[in-house]
Amino acid sequence: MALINMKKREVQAKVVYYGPGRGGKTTNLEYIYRKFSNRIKTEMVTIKTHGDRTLFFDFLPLDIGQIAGFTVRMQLYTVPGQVKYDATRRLVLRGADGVVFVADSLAIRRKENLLSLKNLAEHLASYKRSIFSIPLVLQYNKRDLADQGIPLLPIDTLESDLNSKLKAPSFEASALAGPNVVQTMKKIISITLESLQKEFQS
Amino acid sequence: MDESKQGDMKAQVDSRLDVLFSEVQSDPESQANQSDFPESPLKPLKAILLAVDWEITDETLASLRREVKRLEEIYSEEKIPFTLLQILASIGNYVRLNKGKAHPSAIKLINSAYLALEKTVTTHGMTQQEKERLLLTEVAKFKKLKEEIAVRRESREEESSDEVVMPRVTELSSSPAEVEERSPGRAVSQIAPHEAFAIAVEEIKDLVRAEFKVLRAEIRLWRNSK
Repeated sequence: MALINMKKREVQAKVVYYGPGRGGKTTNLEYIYRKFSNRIKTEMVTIKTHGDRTLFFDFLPLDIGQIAGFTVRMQLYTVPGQVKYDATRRLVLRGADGVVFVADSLAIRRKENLLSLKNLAEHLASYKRSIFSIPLVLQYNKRDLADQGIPLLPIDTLESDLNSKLKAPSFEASALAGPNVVQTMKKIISITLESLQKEFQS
Repeated sequence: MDESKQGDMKAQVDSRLDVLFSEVQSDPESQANQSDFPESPLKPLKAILLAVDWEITDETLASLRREVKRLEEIYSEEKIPFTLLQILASIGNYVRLNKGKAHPSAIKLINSAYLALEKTVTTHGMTQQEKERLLLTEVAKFKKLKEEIAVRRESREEESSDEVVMPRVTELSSSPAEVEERSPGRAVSQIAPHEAFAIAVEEIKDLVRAEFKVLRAEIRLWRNSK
């Protein structure tokens, strides 16, 4: 849940990057951190496990600056994607104001995407949130691997598998190379803040 | 709800985000690499490394070994690319032997050595000095990794004599670097069934401990929020 301090005129919101293991959630945050390190004055915190996998979470705080007289701060988190860290995933998702679902475009990861999205819906439901109402952006990652001859799921398949009911904004991206990583982040921040404003004023 | 006010705020957010995260500043180095890359003999190697990055399998690591060997022949007369390929071969061998138990920095170093190789091979106008500097950085990282592996191996040996033996990465010299193979009987895929079972039990125990730790933290948070 976002923290809104009317006295200090501060807003702090939380966005969680969710998705199957090895899908590129951490790579998204690392790209943003690397690309804008001269503008992001904060440090990225990351807790890795054996073999360079996310154990608990990655955390990247972003100072957005002044918007409508409020100082806006975003906190970007990733969850560990591996199936076994389910309790950790649920904990990190607590209080999320927006979610980016990072789907893996590899053809062999189709089932993992579906399971992870289902897992997201279940965890949100446990916090009395609906996947249909939370600000959500879908990112179809690893599109660059098509150039290397690696079989990928067509975008139509990804859309029909994951987004046919959600109708969330979606981006084809490559977290390693960068295309649409920033656009994904900008979109989720924009719709999250829009949703918070609606919530606050209703 | 004031629609115009909301639209105004959305415009402010979007404009602020555009300013903060504008990607106008391009990276000349990466642009140079992109334009040079299509003709580069490194393209198959890059594809293999991308595959290794998302899944470490015997097949991908065997392809890595074959491709590095092919490139070593191509660059046999160029000392800097050749040495970087030696580093890639050594770490590739180490990862092949250890798989999931390999040092977490090993894959990072593979990627870093590849980037250095790509830079030296594809960047036009790069001076010999710049190339040497890149090489020295990678060699330093390689040596550091080697030390860390040695420390890990020692601490593991102290902890238990049953632990999997870490292979040693040999000193990088002018001759091709080689990984000292551990005894074949200790390869991960060839350990005795009772040892594999004991390792699996330990892993399950660690997992259960970690999950309980998280659950306890969650309960604490829940209590505090009450």
